[in-house]
Amino acid sequence: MVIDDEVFAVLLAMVIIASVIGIALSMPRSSEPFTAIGLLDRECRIGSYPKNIPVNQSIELCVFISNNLGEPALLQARFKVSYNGSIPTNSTPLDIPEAVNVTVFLPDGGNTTRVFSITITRPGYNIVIAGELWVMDFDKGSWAYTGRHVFIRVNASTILS
Amino acid sequence: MPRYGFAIASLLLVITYLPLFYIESRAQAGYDEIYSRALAIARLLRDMGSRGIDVSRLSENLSGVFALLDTCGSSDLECLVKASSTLDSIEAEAGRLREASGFQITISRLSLAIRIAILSSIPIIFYIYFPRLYSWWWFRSRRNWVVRSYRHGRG
Repeated sequence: MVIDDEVFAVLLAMVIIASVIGIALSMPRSSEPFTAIGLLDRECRIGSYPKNIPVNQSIELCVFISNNLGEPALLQARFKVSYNGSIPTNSTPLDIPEAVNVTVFLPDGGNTTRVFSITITRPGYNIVIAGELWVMDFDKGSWAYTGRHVFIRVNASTILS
Repeated sequence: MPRYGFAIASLLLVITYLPLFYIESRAQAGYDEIYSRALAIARLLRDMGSRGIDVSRLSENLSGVFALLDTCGSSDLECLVKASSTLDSIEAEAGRLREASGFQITISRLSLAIRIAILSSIPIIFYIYFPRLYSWWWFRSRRNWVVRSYRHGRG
């Protein structure tokens, strides 16, 4: 044979490996699904969060929501004000009514930012403004808590005239 | 007279507020209906997106509808009308997209299958034809060589 057997075997092995890698890269892959929520300032940037805010005066914040569930999804960020400083956990949302809802429908891999206003109605220290991310479960026809949440702590006081 | 006056005043109050109550309940019913429609369209777009149809533009429009519903509440009829008309256009566009994308999905699946078939066949083609190709090239590159024969060590 003109070409040496061992050389041919090595070349064939390299071609097989390259072919397998090419097939693996061509196959559609689904990564681990996740969602994300972020709390930003009024200009939709990190930082410059309000610390001391007046009572009964609305403040503007911005929410970042991202969908990486592998399919389009209806997501809702529920913002709640906790005057006793309690925060949601990865499995349990706060058991208080929401003050603001931000609902978005995002394609897979999509994200968005939305500005919203929220008002603190009572003075206090270390008041928590918490945002919880919920996703619509179309099979059950109800919202499900994703476990993703963000929060900031603020102090609220009445403005003395 | 005062008795009749009280009855007439009560009747006037009922006549005044009954239409408002009716409008309020109709508006709430309208809000609920539009919200349910929006949820149904969201489910439709979710199914279409799962099948590989590009619904990013419609997703943005639907997000706008939910933003309207979040902010305007059940008593803002103008807002509800705007939301309803946006849902109409999304539904129509989704229907057109679904019809047009069937062929595109078939083509993309076919191209993926062809790509995998070609990549799978490369090692087989290499095994069969590379030695032949290499031999052809080897002999062609040496076709001008002269073979010198030796007779018992003499040139």
